[in-house]
Amino acid sequence: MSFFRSLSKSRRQDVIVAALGFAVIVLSKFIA
Amino acid sequence: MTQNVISHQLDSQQDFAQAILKSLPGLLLITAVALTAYFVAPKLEAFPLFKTYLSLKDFILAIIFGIAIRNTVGVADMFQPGLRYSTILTKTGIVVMGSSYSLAGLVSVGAQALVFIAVFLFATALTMMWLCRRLGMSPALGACLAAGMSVCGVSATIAIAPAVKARNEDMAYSIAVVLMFGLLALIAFPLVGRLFDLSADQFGAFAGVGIINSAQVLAAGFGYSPEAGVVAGIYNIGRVLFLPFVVLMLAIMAASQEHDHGKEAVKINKWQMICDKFPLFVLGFLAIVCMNTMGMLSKAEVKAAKAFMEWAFLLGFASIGLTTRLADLRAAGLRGFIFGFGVAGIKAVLALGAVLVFM
Repeated sequence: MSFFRSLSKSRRQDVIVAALGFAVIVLSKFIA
Repeated sequence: MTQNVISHQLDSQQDFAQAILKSLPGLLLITAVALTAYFVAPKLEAFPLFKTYLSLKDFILAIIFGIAIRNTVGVADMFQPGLRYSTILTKTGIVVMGSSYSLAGLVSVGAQALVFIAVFLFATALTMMWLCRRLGMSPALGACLAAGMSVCGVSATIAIAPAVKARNEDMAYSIAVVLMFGLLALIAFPLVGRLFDLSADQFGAFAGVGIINSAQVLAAGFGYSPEAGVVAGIYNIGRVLFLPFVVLMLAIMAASQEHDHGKEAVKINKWQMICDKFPLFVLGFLAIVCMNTMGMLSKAEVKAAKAFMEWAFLLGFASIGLTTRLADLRAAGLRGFIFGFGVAGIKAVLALGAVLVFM
C-alpha cells in the first residue's frame, strides 16, 4: 500500500487501469 | 504503533468510502447519458440521412449528448466528483481491447501502424515548432501546440507543459485548438470514410493518424465499425507509445530556442523524462494480448470482454462530453482556430492520401 502511495498520480492511474483491465478479463471468464 | 497503523487504515477506508459516495451522482449521470446514447443510436438509423451519410453511433452520440447537457442546462456541483473517471474508463477499455488481438495480428497491424505514426507524428511536431517560430509564438506555446497536434491531444499538452515551463494560457490555447478539431473530426471523419468507401483497416488508420485526441480517435473508429474501432485503437496505442520521445524532442527544441532568445533554458534529464512519461498501462494491454495468443481466453470470454470494453468506452465518452465546456474553446480565438485547423486539416488530408495509396 505504501508503495502504491509513493507512486506519482499518473503511475497510480496506470496501475489502477491495468488492475481493472485484468478484473474485467477475470469477470468475463465467470460470465462466459 | 500498531494502534496508529490500524487507525490510519480505518481513516483511509473511510476516505475511500466517502470518495465513492460523493462520486455516485456523477457516475449515475454518466450511466444515464451512455444508456440514452445506446438506445437512441439505433432509432436514428431509421432516418435516411443518418443511415446513409451521417452515421451517429452510440459512441459519438454519448459525447454529443454530454456536451449538449454541459453547455445548455449545465452540470451541478454534486455531479462533478463522479465525472473524474473518463481517463480511467477509456484506458481500461484500451487494456481490455487486448483480448481482441493475438500477437500475430498485432504485429501485422502494428508494424505498419508504427511506421505511419512515426512519420506523421515527428513530421507534424517539427512542422509545428517551425511554424510557431516563424509566426513569432513563444517556444513554450509552440511546444504545447506541437505536442497536442502530433501525439495525443490533451494528455500530450499536459505532459509537455512542465518540461517547457508553459503558462496556463499556453496550455488552455493548445487544448482548445485540439478539442475544436477533435469535435469536428468526430462528425467529419466517418463522413469522409463513407465518401471514399474506406475499409475498416483503412478507416482505423485514417482516424488513428488524422484525429488528434485519443477519445475522439476511438469514438470515430468505433462509430464507423467495430473492426475499424479496434484498428484505430492499435494506432492510438502506437501513438501513446511515442509520447515520451516526442515530449523529450520538443522539450530539447524549446530549451534550445529559449537559449537562442537569451533566456535561461530548462535543464532536462532525458532518461528520467522518458521513464516518467512512458505509458505503463500499455503493458497491461500487451499482457492481455499474450493471454489471448496463448489460448487462455475462449471465444465466449473474448465476446464478454468486448462487451465490457464497449461499455467502458461508452461511459468514458459520456464523461468526456459532460466535462467539455465550449466556452473554453474561446481561449484559442480566431487566429488559433485558423492555425490549428489549417495544420490539422492538412495532416488529415495527407493521412487520407497515405491510407488510400499504401493500404
